[in-house]
Amino acid sequence: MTVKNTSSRGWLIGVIVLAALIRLWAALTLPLDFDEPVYVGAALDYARLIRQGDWAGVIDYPGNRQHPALHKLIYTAGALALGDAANSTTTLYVSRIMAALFGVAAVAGLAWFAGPLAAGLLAVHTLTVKYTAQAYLEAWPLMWSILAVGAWERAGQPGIARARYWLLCGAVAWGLATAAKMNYAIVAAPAMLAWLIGRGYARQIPLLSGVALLTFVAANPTVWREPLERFAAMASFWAAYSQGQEVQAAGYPWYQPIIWLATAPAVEWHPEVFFLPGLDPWFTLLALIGLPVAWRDPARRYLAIWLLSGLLILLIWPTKWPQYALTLVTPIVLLAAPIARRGIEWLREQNEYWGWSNVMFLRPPRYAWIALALLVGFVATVYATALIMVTAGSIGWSVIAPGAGGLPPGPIYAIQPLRDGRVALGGEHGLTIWEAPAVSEDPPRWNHLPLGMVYDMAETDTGLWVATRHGLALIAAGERWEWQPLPAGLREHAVARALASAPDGTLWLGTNAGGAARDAHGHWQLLPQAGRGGMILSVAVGQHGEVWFGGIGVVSRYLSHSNVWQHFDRADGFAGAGIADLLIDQTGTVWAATLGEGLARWDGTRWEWLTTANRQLPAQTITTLLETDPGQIWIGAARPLTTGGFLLRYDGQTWRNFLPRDSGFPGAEPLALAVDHRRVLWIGTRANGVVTYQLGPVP
Amino acid sequence: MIRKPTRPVLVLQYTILILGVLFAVYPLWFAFLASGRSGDRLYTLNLLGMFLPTEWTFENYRAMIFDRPLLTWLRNSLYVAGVTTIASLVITTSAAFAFSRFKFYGREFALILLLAIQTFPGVLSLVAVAQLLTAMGLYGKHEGLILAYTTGTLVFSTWNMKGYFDTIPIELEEAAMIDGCGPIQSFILIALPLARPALAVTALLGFLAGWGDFIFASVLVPAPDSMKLVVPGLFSLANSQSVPWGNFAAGGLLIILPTIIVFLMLQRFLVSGLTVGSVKG
Repeated sequence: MTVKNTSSRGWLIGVIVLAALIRLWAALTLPLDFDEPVYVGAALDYARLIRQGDWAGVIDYPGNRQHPALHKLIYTAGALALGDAANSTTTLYVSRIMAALFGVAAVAGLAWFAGPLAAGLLAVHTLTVKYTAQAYLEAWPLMWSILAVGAWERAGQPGIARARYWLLCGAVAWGLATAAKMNYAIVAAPAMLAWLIGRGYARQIPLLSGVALLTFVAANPTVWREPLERFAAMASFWAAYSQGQEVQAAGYPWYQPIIWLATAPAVEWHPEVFFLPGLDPWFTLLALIGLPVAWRDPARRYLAIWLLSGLLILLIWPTKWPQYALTLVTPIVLLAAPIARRGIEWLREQNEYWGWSNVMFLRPPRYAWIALALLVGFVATVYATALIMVTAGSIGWSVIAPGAGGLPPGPIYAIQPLRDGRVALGGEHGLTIWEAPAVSEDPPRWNHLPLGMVYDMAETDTGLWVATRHGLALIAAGERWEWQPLPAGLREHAVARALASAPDGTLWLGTNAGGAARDAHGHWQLLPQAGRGGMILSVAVGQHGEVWFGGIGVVSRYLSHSNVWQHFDRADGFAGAGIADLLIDQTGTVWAATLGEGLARWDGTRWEWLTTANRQLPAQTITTLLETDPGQIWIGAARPLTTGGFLLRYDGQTWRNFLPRDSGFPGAEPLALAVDHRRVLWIGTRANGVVTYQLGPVP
Repeated sequence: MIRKPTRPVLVLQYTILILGVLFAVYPLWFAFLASGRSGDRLYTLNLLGMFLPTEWTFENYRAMIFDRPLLTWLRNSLYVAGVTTIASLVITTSAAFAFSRFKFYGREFALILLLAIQTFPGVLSLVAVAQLLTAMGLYGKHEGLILAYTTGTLVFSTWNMKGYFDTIPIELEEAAMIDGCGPIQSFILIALPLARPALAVTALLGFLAGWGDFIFASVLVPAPDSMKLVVPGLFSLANSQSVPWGNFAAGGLLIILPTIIVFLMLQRFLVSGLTVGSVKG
């Protein structure tokens, strides 16, 4: 293809800068998309294997059943560069930045052989912007496929020296594109064959195919060992996946690829990111206008073949994900650019004759431009500052929305990290056990046990004890449970509300009619004095046989060795609110979370009250407490009169309120807090599912 | 001969002017002060703070720009106001040119009818407009709102443009026609460039109709948040329990700035456009 080089260097730089700014903006502002956790998880897995020096593990990594390994390995470089700071959030953003860089390189590559106009169209194509600014597998193969076409275009120029060299470069580029995602080569294959045959390179096809294949194998460790079996496994996975539940559930019609190209779906999905109308459909329209023109030109006919045959392949292929449409964006912009150029030139000629724009176009005074620049600059500065704060603050945070994955809807009242690494989540609809996947590309396992409303949990050597509305359940092994009778003598219809386990295996129980204790041998002892016989909302076990019960307006202290009870009530400041949680920290200080009166702490002699009046507590309804490290107290609080809440950390000196504007905490109302063995803080909320926060490096 | 005013008269004049300026500017200054105050307070117990920025935070601006969908509302308003402006320009200039240049049956009656329509308070037509838009499938859509605003600006703009076209010597167009221009070319290439001041006024009216309205915007596009225009969007920040005054003030200041910038851009055409078009006809 002969490219009319009418562009100046300024246009070229302008297009590249525009592409970079749009992609950077999109990378920072786009929400987490479906496949991103999968690819980021793979990058983290690879990084772990490489750090361990487990190269066999890298080769045999089982997560590349659908797409080859190269793009994930490239994201791995980002995870490795992050070092100890690598987690799902940091790796996500680094991967997005890498994808955006490849996306900009694709624009620059297009500008190299097709001029700045075609590159400009690619720069603002919103579907391309979206998928080359997210941690997907599109940016790298798109870049290399464009560079491959560019290299072959160069080889096809009349009188070019070293044509064979450019042909081989193109083949290597196709191999690199395919090693990241095979769709690009499959969709472009008919057009590339037509190009080679049309330019008289038919005899080179076996050589070029061989070079591309060798590059593919060299860049894709998954096929280094037992390549035929791996290819067969990949093919069978593709076949099964295209008929699988995920694809069927999407329910896209056979013509969905046309819809992706004839609309601007990225703008519809993310109006907050793409705040101007998407021009994608206009590019497709221009490409269709340019189709017959290209067909008549033997040098550009391959573009028409690329678009038509590629579209046919996408229409036939049962999987219709929107990102697959990116395989046709290159021919679209290459077909559209000459038509757009022709239109622009016509307008320019008309205007040069009539001079209408000189007369009619507004020429605002300089101070109007200055005012506009100041306004835009102010808004952009404030937005960018806030965005950076949120992005930096959201590192390590993630949200499991109710209904997502296997988490049932409704409040999460209790969280119990289990000794085997799983995490039990108790809520309105029963107990759900989360289990981390063996391979990050796989989703976590969720097992749901329909126990009814779960209030609290405790784990002993016997198993996991669950206090529910229907009674006390024991999950001893696997996922089977049996109901445990409450001790005889408890009031009829007593409900287990709170649980705590002691190191000696004793289970301490709070009910709506006092407490009880079950020793390691299964013997129950009634404790009617607990909470003065009323409802117990919380239990905490201290050292030397000391047990605390939180009731309604009363905190009871029980010294089990001496069988002595001590009650704290109105005289100590507990005016009647329920004690939602009790915490005994590593210094022995007892913390009581009240539902309306603030936070109380017992230093062994007296209660000190921490309220909105004398501390930086944002609310007095304290719902849950946790000590993660010595002296680091995490506090959950509910907003008064409205939904949502606060998460705070108090180190004895300073209060840190985790707000949506400076952290990944969404402002939900925390109801339960726990830390698992990977040092992940789990926050069960009333309406926002579960929020997790990586407290530090994984041990 | 102009007599020079005496000193007491001058003092009185300036006092009245200064008081007038203060009366006009203080609400804006008050909103500016509230926008920089933390804690969603409209007032402060510090008397000096009611007149000078004794405390300042950008938190309200941050909240409005980042947390609230202000930018989405601004984009919606810009879209509605921009398309209304273009539609008003296209329709009113062609209508006004026809009224000014062509003699046709019912011309006088149509001009009087337009004035008669103008006497009907626009807000009374709200229910009927909503019904019409619902029937057309445009209720709750920006396009319906654009239709309503465009029709609202037609009467004044058409009269204003007609008045301006009347001042342009018809001989200029006739000369162009002798050179080969048709009526449409003479309209586009001769009349329109000469009518720039009136076009600026029409553009401004169209823009303001779409930008600053509350009643039509809140009734015709009631929800969701992502569809709202900036004024009803700002109003929706308040709820039955509280009004985030700081956010409100910051948002209010941010939404008047585009209007001021449009005024600055069109300023040089406005005075002549408003006076010439309105006094000659």
